[in-house]
Amino acid sequence: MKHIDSNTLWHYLVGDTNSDQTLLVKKHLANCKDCTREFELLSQIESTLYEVDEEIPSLGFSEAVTLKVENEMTVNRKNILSTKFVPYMILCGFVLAIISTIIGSIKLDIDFSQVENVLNRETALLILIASSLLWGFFFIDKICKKFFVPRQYPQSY
Amino acid sequence: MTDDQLLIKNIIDSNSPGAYRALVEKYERNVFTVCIRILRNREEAEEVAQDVFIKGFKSLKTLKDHTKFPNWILKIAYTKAIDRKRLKQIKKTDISQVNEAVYQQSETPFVLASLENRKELLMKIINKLDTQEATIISLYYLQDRSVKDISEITGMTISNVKVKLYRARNSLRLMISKEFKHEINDLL
Repeated sequence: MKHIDSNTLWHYLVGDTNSDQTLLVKKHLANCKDCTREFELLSQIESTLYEVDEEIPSLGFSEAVTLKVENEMTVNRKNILSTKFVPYMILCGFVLAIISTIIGSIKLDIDFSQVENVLNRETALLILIASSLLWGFFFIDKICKKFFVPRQYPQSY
Repeated sequence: MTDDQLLIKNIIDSNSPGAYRALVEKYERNVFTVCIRILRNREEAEEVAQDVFIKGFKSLKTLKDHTKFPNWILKIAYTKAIDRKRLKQIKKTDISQVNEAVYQQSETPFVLASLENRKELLMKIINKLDTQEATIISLYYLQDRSVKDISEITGMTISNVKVKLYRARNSLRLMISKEFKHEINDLL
């Protein structure tokens, strides 16, 4: 009697055979002890494969990942405060200082014509630059806090 | 909304690594299994798995369909592990070396062995398979991924995945025969 090869038995086992093949394999298995034994072995392998456990990483793996992500964020934060961002910082601050002055004059009804009597142009410019810088730092710091929050984890990996 | 979708939304909104940790804990085994199947080295696999999750965090915003996160992160894992393997040029294990496996002289046929023994043997034999076959077997059986999912993760065609899956099953069968010599029959 011609036996059924392992490959066909695998196909039959996982339901990957057409109706003719299925019928043929079923008939053969009913009469062939060797093929039945082989089929039992394949079934056993198949069912055991579903039971095999996944590999487990070391304890503290997720903590290590979190720590690494945070470290990268801290590095990014340092980068954002590097000198190349200072011009953008001042520009942002300058725009915000002007906007806040306008809003202040409208909302608080401040008459800035009075200020001209007290401050000369240079002092006013100096105040504007200082407030630009303050706004700039404030603005960038807010961005950093929003997107790059470093946090310390007590347990190391 | 699924758990993953909620988690991812929370991570993106807060941009907090702390929130990401829950997602790492959920998928660390899946990612690590893929890495270890390809790299065959625990330390390296852990290192790559960590990089995978870091990249995952950085690129999470680019993931449009949050339900696809498992396949997406496994695809990153597969790609990164393959890249690392290429870099290190790890030698492929030859199937003929399987005789050195754990069960050197087993008197019990595979079908009669206890479930724990069968599991242990299969786990060790999977590690002796070709890396692609081992990964596909792990994804299909250990992680219950469909052939379509595996195709997405590995970048292979569906038919290619099916062929490799059959090859892997046959390799497993052959290796078990080598382990349990008295089970070899005329069929092979």
